[in-house]
Amino acid sequence: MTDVRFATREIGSLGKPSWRVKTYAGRPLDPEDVAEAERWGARLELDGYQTLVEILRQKAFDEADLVAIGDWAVRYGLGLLEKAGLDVVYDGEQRRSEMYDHVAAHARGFEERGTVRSFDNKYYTKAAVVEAPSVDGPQDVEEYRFVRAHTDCDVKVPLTGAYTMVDWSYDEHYGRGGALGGSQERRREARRRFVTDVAEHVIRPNVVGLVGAGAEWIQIDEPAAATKPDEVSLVVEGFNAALAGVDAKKKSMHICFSDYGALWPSVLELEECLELQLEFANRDSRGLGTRDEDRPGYVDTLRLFKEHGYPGVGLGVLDIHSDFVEPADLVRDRVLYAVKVLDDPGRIQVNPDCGLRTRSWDVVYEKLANMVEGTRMAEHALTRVSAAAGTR
Amino acid sequence: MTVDAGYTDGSVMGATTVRLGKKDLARFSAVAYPELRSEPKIGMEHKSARFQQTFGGRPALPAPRRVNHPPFMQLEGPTVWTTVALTLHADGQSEWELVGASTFPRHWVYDNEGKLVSKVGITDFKEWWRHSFGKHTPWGDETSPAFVTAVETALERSLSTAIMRADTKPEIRKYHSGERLMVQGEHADQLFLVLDGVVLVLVDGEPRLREPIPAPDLPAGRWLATLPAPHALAQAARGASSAQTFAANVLAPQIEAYTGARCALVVLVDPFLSRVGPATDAVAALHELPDGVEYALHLPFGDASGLLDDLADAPVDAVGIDFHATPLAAIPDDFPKEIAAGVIDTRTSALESPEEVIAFAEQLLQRKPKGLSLSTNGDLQFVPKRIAREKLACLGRARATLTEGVPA
Repeated sequence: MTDVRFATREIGSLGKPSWRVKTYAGRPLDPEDVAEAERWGARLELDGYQTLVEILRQKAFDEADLVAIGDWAVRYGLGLLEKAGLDVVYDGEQRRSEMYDHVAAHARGFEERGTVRSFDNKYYTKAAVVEAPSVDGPQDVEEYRFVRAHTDCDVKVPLTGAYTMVDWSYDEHYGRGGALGGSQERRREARRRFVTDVAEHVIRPNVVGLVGAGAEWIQIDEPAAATKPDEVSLVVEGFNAALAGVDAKKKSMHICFSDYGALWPSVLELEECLELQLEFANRDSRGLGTRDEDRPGYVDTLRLFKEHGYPGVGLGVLDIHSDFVEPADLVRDRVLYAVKVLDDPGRIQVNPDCGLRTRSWDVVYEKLANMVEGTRMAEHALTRVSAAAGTR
Repeated sequence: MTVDAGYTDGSVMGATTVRLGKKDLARFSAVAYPELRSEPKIGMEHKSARFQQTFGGRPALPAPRRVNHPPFMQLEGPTVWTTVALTLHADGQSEWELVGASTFPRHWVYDNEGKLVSKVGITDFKEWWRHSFGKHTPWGDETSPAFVTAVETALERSLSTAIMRADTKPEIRKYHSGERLMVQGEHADQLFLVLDGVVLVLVDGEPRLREPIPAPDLPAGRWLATLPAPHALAQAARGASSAQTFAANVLAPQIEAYTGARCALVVLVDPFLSRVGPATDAVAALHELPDGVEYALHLPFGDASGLLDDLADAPVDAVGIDFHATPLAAIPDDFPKEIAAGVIDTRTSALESPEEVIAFAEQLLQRKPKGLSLSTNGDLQFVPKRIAREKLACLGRARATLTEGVPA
C-alpha cells in the first residue's frame, strides 16, 4: 500500500496586522489594535508575545521598537500558517510593501511616475524604467534567514517575476525612439531586452543570494503572465534567465486570474519548473462533487496539464477574493477531481488561489485550516482506494 | 443667459419609532452627520449648474453588533446616507440623479410635487449592518453607487399590496444571481412579486436595452459619445449573443437617444478586434446601427494591419488605429476612411514630442487617406493625471502646427 501525500502551502501575502501598519506609518494605536495583538498571540501560542504587547502599549516607538514590531509581524504570520497546519510556509510578506514596489524601490533604473488604477478602485504606484535596471546585491536574504530561524516547516520564498515587473512598469528606456509607426519586431525586441535585464540583473542576484543562504524553494510570481498572450514566451525567458544555473532544489511559478489557455505550449520550455501554482477556486462552483460538471473552475485547465504532461500543478482550492470559508469536503472534492483528471497524484500539491492579503486573519485561518483538513481527507480517500486495489 | 449657483437651507433626518406590538412607545430623532456638498459644477457656456449633496446619519438608539472591519464590534447603529445630484438649467429645466446610497434601507425618490419617481432596485441589510460605519461611509472614504430602477405602476403597487396582505401568506423564495425565474413560452400559473432585486427580461433569449442612458448636458452638435462596439459586446458576452443582436437591440436604441440630443459623433470602441480578427462579423454588425450620426470605430492597443481591407468597407466615417502597435507600412494608399491616428501612447509615461507626432502625421498624409485626425491610442486612465495632461497638450500643439501653422 502506498500512502498518498500532498504538501499544503500558502502562496505569499497575508494582510498586515493593524499594529504593524499603524506603527510603521507613524499613526497612533487604538486599544483594539493592542487587543488584536494579544488575541492572536494567545491564539497562536507564540512564546513571549507579551513582549510585543508591552511595546505596543508605549506612546511612542523608536527605531529599535519598529524593528522588533517588524520581527513580531513575521513571527505572527509564520505562527498563523503553522497553526493552520501548512507543510510549507513563509512570512506572509510582512516585511514587503507590495510585490511590485518591493522590487522597483530596491533596484536602480526605476523612477516613480505616480498612482494609477490597477483594478476596481485599487491603485498602485507605478514606476518607469529609465535606464537598464540593476541591483547592488541580493534583497531578501536577511528576510529569508529570519524566517528560516523561526520555523521548523519547509520554506518557500516568493519573488516577483521579471515579466510582471516589466509589464507593470512604464518603459522610458528600451522602447524610446521610432516607436510611432514602427514594426512589431522592433517593439518585441525592446520588451525582450527589458525582461532579460530585469531577470539577469535584478531577480537573479537575489535568487543566487537566497540559495546561497540555504533557500531550497524559489517561487517566481508572474500574475501578468497571460495578460498579453503573444508574450508568454517572454515570461518563460524571464523565468529561465532568473534561475539559470541556480542550484535550488525546487523552482516553481505562480500565476493567477488569467486565461491559462495562453500558457501552453510556451510553458513547456520552463526549465526545471516543479509546478505552476494557479488560481482555480475563484472560477469554480461551491457545490460538492468530482464530476466535470461539478468542477467548472478546474476542468479546462487541468486538461491542459494532462494533455501536455508538464509541469506539475499547484492546485488553488481557496478563493482569496471571498470570505466564504470553503468546507473541508469541498477542498477534498477539488483535490480528488484533480487526481482523477491527471491520474497522477505525484503532480499535485495544494494551495490557495493566490496570496491572502485581502482577507482578515480570522477568515484566513479558517480557510487554511479547512484546506489542510480537506487535503488530509483526500489523501485518506486515495490511500484507502490504493489499499483496496492492492488487496485484490 | 448665464447661471451662478450656491446652496441654501439644509436637510432633515427622520426618527426611529419604538413599538411594542402595534403600540408606538416613543420616537427618537436620528443623529444627523454633516452634509457633504460638492462645489456646484457650472455647465458649458454657464447655462446650467449641477449640485451634489450627501446627507445621512445613524439611528439614535444603539445597535450592538459584530462588524467586518476593525474594531469588529460597534455599539452605534449603522450609518444610512443618500447622495443626490440636481442639475438646474438656465431655461428652467432640471434633472435629478440618485448618485449613491447606503445599501439599506431602500431609497425612494420623490419629485417636487411629492410624486414617487424612482427607487433603488437592490438592498442588502447584511452588508449595511456589518460594514456601514466609520470610514466605510461617505464621511470616511467609501460610498456605494445606487442601482436605480423605475417605480412600479399604480396597478403593480395595488397588486403587490393585495399579495402581501392577503389571508394566505405568500411563499418567499430567494434566488441567486443568474438563476431563472421563468422561461418564455412555458406554461405558468404563478404570479411573482419581486420584493428585492432586479429581474432581467430576455425576450426570445436575446439582450435588450432596458432604457437609454440620458444624453449629457453638452452643446448640441458639438459632443461625441463613446460606446462599446457591437463586436466588443459579443466578445465580452462569450458567444451568449451575436454582434448583430447587440447592435440592433442594445446599441441602436441608445444611439437613437443620443442622436435625438444632437450627438455629433459616436465612437465605437473595440479592444478585441485587433487581437481576434477577422473583421467580417464586426463590420456586418455595424450595418444594424441607425443613420443620422457620424461613426468612428476605434481599435485601441493592437495591431490593425490585418483588418484594414475589411474596415475599408465598414459603414463608419473614421477608423481609429493604434500606431504604437500598427506599422505605418500597413496603411494602403488612398484608404477610403478618415484615419483617427492613435499617435499618443497612453500605456507609457514616455512623452511624445509634437515634432515626432507632426513628422509621423506628414508621412501618413502622403498615403492620402480620406481624412486624418490625431488621437490617443486608448483611454488615458493608464497614466497618472499629470502625464495625461502633458500628452493631451502634445496632441494639441501638433494639431495647431499641422492645421494652423503654429510653431510646435
